[in-house]
Amino acid sequence: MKIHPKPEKELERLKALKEYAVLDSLPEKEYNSITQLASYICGTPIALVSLIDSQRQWFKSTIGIDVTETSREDSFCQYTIMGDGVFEVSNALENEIFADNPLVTGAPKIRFYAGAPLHDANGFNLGSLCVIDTKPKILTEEQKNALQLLAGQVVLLLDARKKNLDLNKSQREFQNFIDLSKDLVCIANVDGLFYKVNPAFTSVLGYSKEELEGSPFVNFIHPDDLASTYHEVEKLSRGELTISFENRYLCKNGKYVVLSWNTSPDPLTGNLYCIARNMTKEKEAEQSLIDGNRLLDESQSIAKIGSWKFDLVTNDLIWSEGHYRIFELDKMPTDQLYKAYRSRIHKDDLAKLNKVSIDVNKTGKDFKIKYRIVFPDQRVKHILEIGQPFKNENGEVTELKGIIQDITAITMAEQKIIQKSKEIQDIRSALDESAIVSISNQMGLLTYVNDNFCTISKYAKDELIGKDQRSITGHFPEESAKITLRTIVKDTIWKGEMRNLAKDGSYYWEKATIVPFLDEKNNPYQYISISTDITDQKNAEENLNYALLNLEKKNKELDQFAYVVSHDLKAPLRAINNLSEWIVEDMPDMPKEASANFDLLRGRVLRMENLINGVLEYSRIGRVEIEKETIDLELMLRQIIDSIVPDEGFEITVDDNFPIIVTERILLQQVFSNLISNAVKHNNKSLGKIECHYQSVSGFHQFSIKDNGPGIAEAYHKKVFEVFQTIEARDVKESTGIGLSIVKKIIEEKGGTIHIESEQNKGCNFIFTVPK
Amino acid sequence: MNQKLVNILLIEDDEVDVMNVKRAFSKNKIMNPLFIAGNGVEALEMLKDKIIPLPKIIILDINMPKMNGIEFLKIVRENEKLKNISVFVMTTSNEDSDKIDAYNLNVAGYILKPLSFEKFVTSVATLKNFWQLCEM
Amino acid sequence: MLNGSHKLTPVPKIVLIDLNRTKNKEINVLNAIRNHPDLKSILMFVITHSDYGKNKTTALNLNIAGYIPLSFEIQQLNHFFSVLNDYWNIIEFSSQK
Repeated sequence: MKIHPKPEKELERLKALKEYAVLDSLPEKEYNSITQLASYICGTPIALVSLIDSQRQWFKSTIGIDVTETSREDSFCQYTIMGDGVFEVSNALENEIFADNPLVTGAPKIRFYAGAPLHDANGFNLGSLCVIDTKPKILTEEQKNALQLLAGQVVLLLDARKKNLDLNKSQREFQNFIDLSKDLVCIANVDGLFYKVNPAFTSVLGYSKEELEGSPFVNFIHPDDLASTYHEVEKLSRGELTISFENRYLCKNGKYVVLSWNTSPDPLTGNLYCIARNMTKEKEAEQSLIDGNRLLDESQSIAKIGSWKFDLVTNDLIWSEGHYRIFELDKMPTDQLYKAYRSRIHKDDLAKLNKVSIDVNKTGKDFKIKYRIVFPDQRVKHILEIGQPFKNENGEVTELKGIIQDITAITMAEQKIIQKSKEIQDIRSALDESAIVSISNQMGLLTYVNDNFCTISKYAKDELIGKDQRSITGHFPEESAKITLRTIVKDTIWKGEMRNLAKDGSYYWEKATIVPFLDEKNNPYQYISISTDITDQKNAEENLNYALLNLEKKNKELDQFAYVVSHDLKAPLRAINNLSEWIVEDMPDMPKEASANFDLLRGRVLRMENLINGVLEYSRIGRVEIEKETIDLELMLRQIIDSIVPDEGFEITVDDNFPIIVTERILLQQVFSNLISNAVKHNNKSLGKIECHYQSVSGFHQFSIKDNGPGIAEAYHKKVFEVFQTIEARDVKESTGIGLSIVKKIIEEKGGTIHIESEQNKGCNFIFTVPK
Repeated sequence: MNQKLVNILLIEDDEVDVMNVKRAFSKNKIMNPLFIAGNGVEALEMLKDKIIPLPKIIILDINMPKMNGIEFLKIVRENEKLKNISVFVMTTSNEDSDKIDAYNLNVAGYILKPLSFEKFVTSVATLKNFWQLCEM
Repeated sequence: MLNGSHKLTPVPKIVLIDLNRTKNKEINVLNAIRNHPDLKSILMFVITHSDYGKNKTTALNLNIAGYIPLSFEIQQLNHFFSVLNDYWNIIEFSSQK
């Protein structure tokens, strides 16, 4: 077995060879030239550039044979690459290694071989440059040197080739890069023409390469952006770079796209190397973002919401516009904001806030807190703050994020509701306390009764709920029950008095208001009845009515009595009177004493009649209802004066301001008659003067009857008004003594007053008032 | 003037009052035949049974036993033969109700008996004048 | 005057009627008054200038308070009215309207 030599680092050598990418490549005339030279210089018919692969040797260039490769095992070059110098085999037949080599024994019948290794820069022998003859030979030193030099050239060629390939590859890669780039890559020259554009131009703008290259780029720019573009170009011409310059380009389809340019001028050529990015989508996205942000802000503003972010480590606080607005602060740096925030907090709520912070740190849970903020002008807002903690890699809470909401309005409303609720509750309690309340459903079954209801109806609550309310209430004639029902069923409120049946069979009265509650269709779905217990009042009313009836009856009886009394008493009186008169008449010879006695008798009888009349009259006052009339008082006075006052011996004056009033004629008539007749009766002067005066005082008519008679001493000013009281003995002045008491009673019954102004012997003035 | 003296029926229960009327009549020289009935029932009997000649004037008291003046008057007014007799009420009753009842039954006058006899005589005088005027 | 649009109020308690002009008309008036529920209790005094016996009977049937023949001599008129006046003064009237 022959051992085939392998150089050290064979794998690296193979790798290096691979990198030359020369295996299986097409013949190239540069290599052919070298093999030609080698063949000339060495005087051999065959020259090869062979590269030793892992299993084969492959020929880059061949002179004199047609084969492109042979197996590595059979090659001579495999020995060549083992060393650094020329490997010569003068006579292959005599070399024991090669004697039985198929290439020796068979075609091409190699007898002579000389090869110089292809030695790359890294020390790997890639293959060899070799010359081969079919006759044995020996090379001269010069020939060997030449061979080595040529081998070196081959390596140079290979290197150059490799470089070229690499360059090509780079170039291709680069070209790919440009071609495949989504960005628009181009070269423009200082004249403003597109020189070279990449396919992205076409895909973005729609123009073909031909339409663009050679055209001025300004043709495609949005007219509004031309000015700024020129400015940029000018900058570029001065050698400045353009970074992120945006302008709009017109696409073939008429739409505009926004391109952001990064351009570098080449100072030597003046060309502009440009890369543009289609920012349209980004721009749109940006706009969306701006819009979105604005929308968010607006929403926040409408909803009175603000957002915040707080860094626990640095105490940096970031607020949204909405947040600033709610807190009514101007935008300020994040490190100052926290302080400003704290300064707004209501002092009573700071402790609450602090506790919450501590809790959040400990538990890492979301929090929700309500607190108040106070403004310099003492206004207060209510804030609801919600926050979420965010942890770092160590599990510690480092950041809080959340939102706040201005819930002032809500809080105020809530407070109002609470207040109103309480009010309603209070009213309800008061109602419950004071009134009898029951609620029935549309069927008339009780769904609620309050305590008062139970107390008064004497039923327990559970005996009532679900029962038909008619079993208790409205025990009165069917007609009125129907009317009540009709009223409330028609969605009208019913008010009235009802008699109800209590559990123990007793009746009680209530004054009720029944209100139907209407649903959206205006149909009653329940009735609420609120009533007060008027049983006592009703009883009182009944009692009163009864008492009044009684009183009327008694009055009638009294009237009857008075009539009978007066009539029956008077009859015998008359008889006595007449009989005594006739006796005197029939006995003209009666002694004077006797007839005087009879006179006395008759006088007494007369007195008695007057007394009886007076008593009758007196008892009538106030009992009998007299109709009121419109009376001309002056006229009435005149009439009275005419009938009572004698023409002779008296002088009457009446004020001319006596009013016309509405009153009971007969009563005033009695008063005036009485007073005037008194004045006449008691007159002790030759010329009796009677004055009638009137004065209007607040709320009253004031009248006075003044005479110039004997007057009444002050001591008797009250006494004269008493019943049966006379100033003089009746024998001296016939007087029932009832007149003035009647006058006083009449006046006082009407609500007026009467008093006397008089002194003994200085006349008398009776002053009385009557309410208007 | 021819004076045919008409009959007068006095219906009065009180003895003294009857005397009153008689004396007053005589004082006034009223000569008309005077018939007396003590109460309504008696009067009706007298009238219906023609115990007395038909009077043209009735002087009627109201307060009487058995049948009072108003009741009597009602019956008279319903009686064909008696209803056109002129009735003069003479009574102590000052009650409105009696007056109304009397006038509703168309009495020719309603006179209150005064307490004093003298006054009564004067009233009777007036009455006589009136009767004469009417040619009663 | 006692009825209708020219109604006198208060309703008079005394009516003095001259029965001469057209006897039928006056008799009708008397009837009318006696038949009227509000007016039937009025005291009626009838003056006549002639001696119609028939009328007197009718009048008495209607319970005339006084049926008075009258001629137009002045003394008679004076006397007539003073007697009537005296009479009217002595009789009582109800205080009803």
